[in-house]
Amino acid sequence: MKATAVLGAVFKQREKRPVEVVSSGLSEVDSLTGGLPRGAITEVFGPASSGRTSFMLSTLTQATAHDEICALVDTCGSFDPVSAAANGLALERLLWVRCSANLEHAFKATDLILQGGGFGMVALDLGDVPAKEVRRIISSWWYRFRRVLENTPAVLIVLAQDSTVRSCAALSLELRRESGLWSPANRAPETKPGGPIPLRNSTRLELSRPCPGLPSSSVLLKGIQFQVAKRRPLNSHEQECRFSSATMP
Amino acid sequence: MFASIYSSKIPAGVSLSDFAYSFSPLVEETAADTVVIDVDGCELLFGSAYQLAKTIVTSAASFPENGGLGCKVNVALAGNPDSSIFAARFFKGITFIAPGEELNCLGELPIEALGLIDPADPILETMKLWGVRTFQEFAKLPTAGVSERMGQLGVALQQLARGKTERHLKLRQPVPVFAHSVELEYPILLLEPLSFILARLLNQLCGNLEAYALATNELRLQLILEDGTLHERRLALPTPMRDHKVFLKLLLLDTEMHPPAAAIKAMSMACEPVKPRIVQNGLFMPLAPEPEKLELTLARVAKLVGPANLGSPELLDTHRPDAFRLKRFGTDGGTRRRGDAGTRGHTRVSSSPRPRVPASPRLPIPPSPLGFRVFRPPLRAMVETRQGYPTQINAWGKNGSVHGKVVQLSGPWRTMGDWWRVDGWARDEWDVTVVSQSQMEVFYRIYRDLAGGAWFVEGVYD
Repeated sequence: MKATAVLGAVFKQREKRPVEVVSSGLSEVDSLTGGLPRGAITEVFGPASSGRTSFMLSTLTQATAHDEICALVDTCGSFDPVSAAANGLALERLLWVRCSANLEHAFKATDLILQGGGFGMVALDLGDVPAKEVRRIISSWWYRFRRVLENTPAVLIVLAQDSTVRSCAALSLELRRESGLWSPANRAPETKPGGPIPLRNSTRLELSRPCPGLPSSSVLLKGIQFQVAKRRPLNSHEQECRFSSATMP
Repeated sequence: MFASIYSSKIPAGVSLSDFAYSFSPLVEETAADTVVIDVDGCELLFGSAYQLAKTIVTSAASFPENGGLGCKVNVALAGNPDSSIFAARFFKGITFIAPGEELNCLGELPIEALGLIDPADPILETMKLWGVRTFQEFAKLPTAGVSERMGQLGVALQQLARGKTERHLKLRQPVPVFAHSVELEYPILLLEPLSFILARLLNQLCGNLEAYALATNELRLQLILEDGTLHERRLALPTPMRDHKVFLKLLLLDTEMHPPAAAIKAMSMACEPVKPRIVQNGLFMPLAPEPEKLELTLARVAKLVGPANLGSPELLDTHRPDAFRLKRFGTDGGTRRRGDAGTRGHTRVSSSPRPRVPASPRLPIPPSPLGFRVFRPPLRAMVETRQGYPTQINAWGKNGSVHGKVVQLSGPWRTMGDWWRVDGWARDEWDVTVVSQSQMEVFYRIYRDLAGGAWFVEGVYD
């Protein structure tokens, strides 16, 4: 009887807090995914020019616009502050860590930042790391991150060319470019080489409009198809428990 | 009970306050010829208050070599410091004023004696005109009338004359020292034994800071090495702190990053005392790292990736491509908006397994342009052109390679600047779509350096 009571206390369903989510800054993506969960890993993967960086900038911009302190662990040092500032990202609220293509340093830096706490959003950019190296990442790192994040309000976004976080990600977004980004007006060069110098146009690549007729698990926005590759049911078990206990007399 | 010691004939080179400290640690240096000591608690050493007064007079009469003053002193004991000062100044020898008898003892003193507190006060002149000559006459005046005619200062002077003042002694505070040093018996080579010495010094330093309710934003560590050189490190903190554990970790991390060239023979540590940081965060302020923790995190990450690779990017005021600098990252840059109840508006608690995202944010966010990833350094490219337009690109570099046929392009955009400097730039930029062998379309920004004619791939749109 006593042992049962002790074991019962040990194996009792741990009380979890309800899920908090943050907006990615793209309403279509938010309606598709339900937002980026806090205290969990969100994985964004896709090939080059698939919109991963734009998505990351959008989420960071959204977070910094709401006074969150963010960190970007840039494995290959490819972050462009100019385009980020043009995107509206408050650079003074962003901690940028350049890891000189050292994957181990990138993971250790991410771990230190997550352990330090207080950051609303942390982005780990593995976008330029070759797939061969990404596949070598041991999964215990992701379990470690997931454990550290569990009781914090931070969002960890992982950018990669291919799915790497796997089961540790609460949300996996696969990005694919579906339509061209060129506007008809910009197809022809503005001037011939050696000709008169044109004024610099700030927006040279135009974005196409979203189109209907896609499957429910994906959305096409600005020429980029966002598809939910995997979503872990967040606290579903907890919800069931709660409902059942509520209906019991 | 307070004892005032007064002497108008103190020999040169003799300090009355030093003499007073031999009787009590609580000494007020009222003037060069007057001190007041708190005699409470001196009974075990000197007996009753009267016996203490006799001891003071006897000791003062002895020669300075024997710890005395070499002159006669007046000693007055009273329940408040001001009454004892008046009595010591105007009555010779030992005077004892019992509590409640102040006015009886001091009543005949001339009203000018009050001017000792503030000689330039015109109130004394006014009282002379009124015919008030002594403390007793002044004390008899109604307080309300004095307050009406002379204000609060007049009331305070009347309380002085009545001997009813209540105040603490103005004690001389020793000058705080926020520096400690230690000489070692054996030179230290390793970090672990050094950490124990640093911890000891930091404990003392932070204890001093805490005693004065201060903090520091700068720590200076000087290590005297075995070869006679001086290894100096300065730890600048963005916010004032006084947590010795944080300091120790920061110093150890800094020493690991900048190790001394030889074993350590002696060390000294000092800090710059400043007022501590007082922050009251709002209930609805979003989460931010604690400054102490943030400093530790930054120091650890800096040790990992190097201080030059860590910080907050800041754009430079120039049109030069990729012009930015990394500045020190901090959360107290005045950039955070305070008291904004809606700052966490983009976060909500959801009770459903499929959480919903709140409506569009309040803050205006500019339309999202394309993200751009920069190759640093840019990839050197071999570009085939037809009538000046790029048709084929082959680029390679440490960060990757680009090979493929250009199927779409836009440009060129010519930019140039700083032509009067050695590092000026001039280039034609193109946006191109390159189809690789795997039939994947990737968007690149390439440019041709007008000075050398070489082609480079600057980055990829993503």
